[in-house]
Amino acid sequence: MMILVLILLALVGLPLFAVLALISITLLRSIELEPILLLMEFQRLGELPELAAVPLLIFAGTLLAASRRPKDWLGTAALPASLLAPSLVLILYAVLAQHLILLVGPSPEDMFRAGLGPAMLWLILFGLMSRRIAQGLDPASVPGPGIGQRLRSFSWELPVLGAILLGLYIGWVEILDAAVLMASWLLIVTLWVRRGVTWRQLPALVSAAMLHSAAVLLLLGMSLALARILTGVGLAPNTLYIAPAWLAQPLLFLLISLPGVVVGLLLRPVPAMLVLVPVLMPTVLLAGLEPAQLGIVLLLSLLLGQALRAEYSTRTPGQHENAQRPDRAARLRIAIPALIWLAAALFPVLTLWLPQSIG
Amino acid sequence: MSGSTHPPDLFERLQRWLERIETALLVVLLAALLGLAAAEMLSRHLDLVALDWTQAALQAVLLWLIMLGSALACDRLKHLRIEWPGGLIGPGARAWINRLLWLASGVLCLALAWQGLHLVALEYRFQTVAFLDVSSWQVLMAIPVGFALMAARLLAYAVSPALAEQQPGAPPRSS
Repeated sequence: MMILVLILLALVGLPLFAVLALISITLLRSIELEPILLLMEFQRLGELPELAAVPLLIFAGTLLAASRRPKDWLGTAALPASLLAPSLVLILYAVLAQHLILLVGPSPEDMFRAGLGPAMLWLILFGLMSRRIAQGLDPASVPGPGIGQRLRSFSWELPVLGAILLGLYIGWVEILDAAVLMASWLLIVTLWVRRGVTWRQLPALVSAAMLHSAAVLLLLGMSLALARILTGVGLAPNTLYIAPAWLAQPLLFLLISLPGVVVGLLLRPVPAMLVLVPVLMPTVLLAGLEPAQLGIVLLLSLLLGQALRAEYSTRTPGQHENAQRPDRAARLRIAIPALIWLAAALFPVLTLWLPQSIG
Repeated sequence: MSGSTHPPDLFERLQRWLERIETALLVVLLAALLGLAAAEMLSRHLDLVALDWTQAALQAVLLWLIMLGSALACDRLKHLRIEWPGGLIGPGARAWINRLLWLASGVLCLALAWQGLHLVALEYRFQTVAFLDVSSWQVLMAIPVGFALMAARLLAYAVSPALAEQQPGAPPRSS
């Protein structure tokens, strides 16, 4: 009953860290354990060294955004960016999975490699259908012929950042090293080379980046604590109870990631992943599913939810009723993530060939 | 408080000073995080045994950064939550729902701050060293301090009539 009330409060806007903390306290109380156990689990957040990469990467992103003029240079192809390094959502998934699978889960670098295949497929499909998709969009948001010039305007950033990211995929650098190098390089370029940000502006940018990082990491801490409490006291909900034994693994992937589509309608991928993983991971372990593949399938289901939300939340009643082409374009924008979600669930090779061949 | 034309009262001035101190601390913590992570990277790649404390220091800085950043996120109402598109709920009802949510979150943070003090007291008894001369209880102090600051902000939102109109995710009030 209490859990239902908390879910209702979450739906009306209670901060998610509070929802997870209250669920944890309720569960602890139900088995007569002290709430201090929640904080004992929460403080273990400090024991995960890769997490230091999160504020550094968010700071690097904030610097890049503050110093650059064209903020929409990736246009509508931005969704698959969360499948590529240094995707925050993949780092957080890897940390959660490693923590919950006793340090044998996929590393952030493994997750980036697993995301490369679906991201490439996404970009190929997007490229093939770009003309049709663009018909439904505001012309101002579609990158024009000046894309080469825009890329040249990143001449100080792209080669170095590209080399660091390549190092991540190949395995030469780890995520924390990459975050240090990226943040340091962007700080140098922004302050001394481009002078796009002044020293006076820096504290405001730092606080903006840090409060965003803190909001994400606080939720991660509560998510880890809840997951540990759920598995520790044997209260983990198990999707396998409702899944027939004959269900093939690809279908099980789809079944497990299906809530992701719904949650993706309500939340952005980062908080959605942090809420879903503690609940789903025990099932994944029991079913013997590959955690790296599940992470990508789950992320794709969230991106499908985001695409659905983007299409339907911006529509006004009567819009597109008489226009055939924009409707087809909208369907394509939803069909691409849906197709890649199905492909990633049905064909493990799409996600696992690179981590297995390099890792 | 925000955007109002009257001169700032004592509470507002305190609030602004607190925000400035937090921002300054966050700048110092980020600089420390970057420096320690760079040192940790170098010590790992170059096998420098003399810097073997950097990882523990990095973890301590990260915990303080999370807790102080979370307090600032409460001030700006930037914590992650479900947001519905469009105006499903009217502004009057929304203000009352927000008050209820901030009150609930504030009370929870207060309880967590209290539990955090118990955790610190427990750690104090063992006098464990985190790194160099820094004790573990000093690192863990981040938890009660952070949750107490969060509780203060959230409860202020819950009880202040002027702040009840503030929408989550809206631009910062004073800066």
